Amino acid sequence: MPGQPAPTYPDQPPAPPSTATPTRPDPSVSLALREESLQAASRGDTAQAIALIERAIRIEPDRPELWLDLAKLHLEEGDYASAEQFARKALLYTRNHPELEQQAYVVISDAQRRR
Amino acid sequence: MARKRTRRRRKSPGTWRRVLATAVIAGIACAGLLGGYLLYLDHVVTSTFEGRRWSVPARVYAQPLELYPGRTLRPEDLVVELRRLGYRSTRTRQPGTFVRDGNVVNVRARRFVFDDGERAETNLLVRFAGSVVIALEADGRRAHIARLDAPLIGSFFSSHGEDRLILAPADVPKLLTDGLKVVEDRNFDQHRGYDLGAIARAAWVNLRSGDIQQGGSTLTQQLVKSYFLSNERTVTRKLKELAMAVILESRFEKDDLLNAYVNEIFLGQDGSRAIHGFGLGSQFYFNKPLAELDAAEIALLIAVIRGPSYYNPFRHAERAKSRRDRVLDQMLEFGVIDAATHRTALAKPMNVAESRRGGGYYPAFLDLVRAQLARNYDADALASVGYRIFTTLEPWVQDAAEASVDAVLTQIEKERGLPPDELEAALIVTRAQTGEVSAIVGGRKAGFQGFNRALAAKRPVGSVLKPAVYLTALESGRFNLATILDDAPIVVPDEHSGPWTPSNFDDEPKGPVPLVRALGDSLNLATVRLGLAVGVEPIAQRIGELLGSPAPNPFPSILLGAISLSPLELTHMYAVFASSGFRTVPKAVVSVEDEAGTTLDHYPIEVEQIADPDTVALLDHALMAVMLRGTGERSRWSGHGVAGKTGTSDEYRDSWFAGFDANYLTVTWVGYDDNRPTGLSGSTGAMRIWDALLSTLYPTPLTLPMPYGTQLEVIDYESGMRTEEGCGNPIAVPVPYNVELPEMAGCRTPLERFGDRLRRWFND
Repeated sequence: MPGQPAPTYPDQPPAPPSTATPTRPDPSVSLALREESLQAASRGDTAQAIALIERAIRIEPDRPELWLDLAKLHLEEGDYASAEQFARKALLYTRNHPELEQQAYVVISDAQRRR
Repeated sequence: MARKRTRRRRKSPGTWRRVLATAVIAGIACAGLLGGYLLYLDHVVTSTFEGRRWSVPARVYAQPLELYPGRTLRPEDLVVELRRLGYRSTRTRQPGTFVRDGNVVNVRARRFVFDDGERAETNLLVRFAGSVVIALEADGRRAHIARLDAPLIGSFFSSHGEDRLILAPADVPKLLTDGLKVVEDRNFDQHRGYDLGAIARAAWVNLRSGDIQQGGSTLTQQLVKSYFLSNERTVTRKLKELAMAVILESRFEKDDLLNAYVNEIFLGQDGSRAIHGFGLGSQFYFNKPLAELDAAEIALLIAVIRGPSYYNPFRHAERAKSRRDRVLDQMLEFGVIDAATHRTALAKPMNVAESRRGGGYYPAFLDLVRAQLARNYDADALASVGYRIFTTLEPWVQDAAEASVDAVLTQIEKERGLPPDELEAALIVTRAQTGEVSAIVGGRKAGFQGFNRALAAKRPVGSVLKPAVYLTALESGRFNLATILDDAPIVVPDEHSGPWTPSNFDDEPKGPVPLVRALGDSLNLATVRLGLAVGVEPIAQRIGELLGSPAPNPFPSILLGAISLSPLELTHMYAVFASSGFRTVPKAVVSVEDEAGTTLDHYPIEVEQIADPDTVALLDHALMAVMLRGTGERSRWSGHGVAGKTGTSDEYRDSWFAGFDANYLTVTWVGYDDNRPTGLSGSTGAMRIWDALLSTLYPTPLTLPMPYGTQLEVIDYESGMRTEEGCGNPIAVPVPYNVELPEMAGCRTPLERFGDRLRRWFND
């Protein structure tokens, strides 16, 4: 049956001269996209607003504000199940942001009530 | 299409009266037949041409490269991406060009229509510090974010293979139309569909040279031939062509006919794909839009018309170039270009694009796109109505993945003296938090359409399935990472196939071990005992939920991964581990637009929580321990905050690895198609491909939360006893507060440790 031997392959070359050390996107990037998304939402273009937040999430998937934005947009759309899931996703990253954590719980309870 | 009403030449009834009565009788019979036929032709030609829709295959785009301050990217990476898009390094300041000056890259971005709006031509300035983008300017103003064009990665042409990119009249450079007329049809603006002078001239030239040097067909005749007729060379066909050309000319404007010609004409064959029209011709031969071609390049496209295979610039460079030069001469002779342009153009090499890959540069990925679109779109529509499909592929990840597969398999075969070019591999890279698919390799020859192992090859998974057992155990609340399990021989009664006696990979029972090591070293006996304690039934249930498929039969052997899955299926399971308990379905398509740019479908990001984040965090700590202390220890990324699990099926037939960092989840398989043993374990095979791939992706370390109610305890990896730095094989794992761990004996006394602490205080 399967399992693992002690690894015995020839010594790997050391990690190559690092292509790059990972860096974080400047916070202004997400801000700019959220701003644009807000504008789209306020002229009623929810689809565009969602697309912009998704674009930001591809860049910074661990920013709770983005998942929260996505949750609220889906709540507006009447997609309560997704709204709740995105708010739960936001909660993964809100441990040091009590205000955002509160907002996420509000979305979850709204979504559950309106379902 | 504007129909012309002015030039309908119907004879007035009066004409006929002057004809002799006898001739009428004889004539009516013939003319009636011919006339009837011509009327029929007129109807066919006019209605077909008027209602014509070019068959335009759907075009598939990859993700555009996003540029923003803080992005990890080297200037040379940006240059690679620009070249992929057909941008040239030159200071001409035209769209489609760039200049790199050390740490600054200046891009003259083309206009591009994304799925969420249009970007006008932009002057983009990207500043780097080392391998990080530090500032961006768009048209002289500071910008927070910008993106390059979305790279075109393929098109869904139909089985007869016509592929084209439609050009509106405004998109066609005058140089091209003027050149076409000069070379192919000098009297185009005057004639009525045929050109007797040209036919005579061509006959004379051909007679003199004893070779077919000139056609003599007008552009209209060529259009008719390509649009309506077959390729046979008979007199009747030629007459039919002539009649149809005359009909077209009498019904439609010259501009319409010229534009139709530009979009219709056949310009080359690329595998099963037929390149039609100058829009695609330009992309195919030069990898850039028609608007950016210079005189030499336009002349080459015109040169090719006469015989796309005879003058194929990839295969017959000399021949094609000398014909191009003749075209340039004619363009000069008739004043289409001036002497200076002519001179520069003649001096230029042909500059055709590097080898192409049959219209689908990433066939394995396109398979998934096709499969996901099949739910909403039929194949005919995809092949003909000009959709634009935006996908999640990241070409730089895909290229790195293909290169890693190729390099590692070749190296393994060399090191182990295996027959060359026989090992196969498959790989899927997804974005860990969204499930979007960044790359798929379906086999070793990634550029060729073939058996897609990543989607279709179901192989026994072995130990790479074990995390499902451990997750279920941790979820039961009865186990933690430091729980001591007994890695001792066991006989499992099985009413189906008799008693089952599993054994360890090295046949040696390890005795009491902590749970984290049982998973880390992939100990079979401890895992079976754990699985039996939790219950095979609930574990089978959980495996089904994690895979998003029906639960497997609850045989005890599933505890050791005795089920067969494709890399894509396994990706479902690891996506839950890589995203703190959220299910994401591997997704390839972001949106579909129709020809007019209206979004038909947007496929949103979808997540669904199916496991408690804290419990998954515990599992992930253990999967990090795999890479730090266990079977993944020899990875060059051990110690870089990554998590993963190896797997090997019976007799080394399948080598598996699934690994993730904060951004990317990768599932890899290595084996032989005929299922014979490879001698490779998960870590000596599949994991090495991941290792190589990460050299390009460079991992972003996981930052796992401390699950509520736990604290970090340093335990000895071998025995599970509480220890400290420098004693035994220490590893820090989260353990519930209320758990009492046995102290490791034999290292140092508590008094020595106290002394240590005192010294530290004094030194601080």
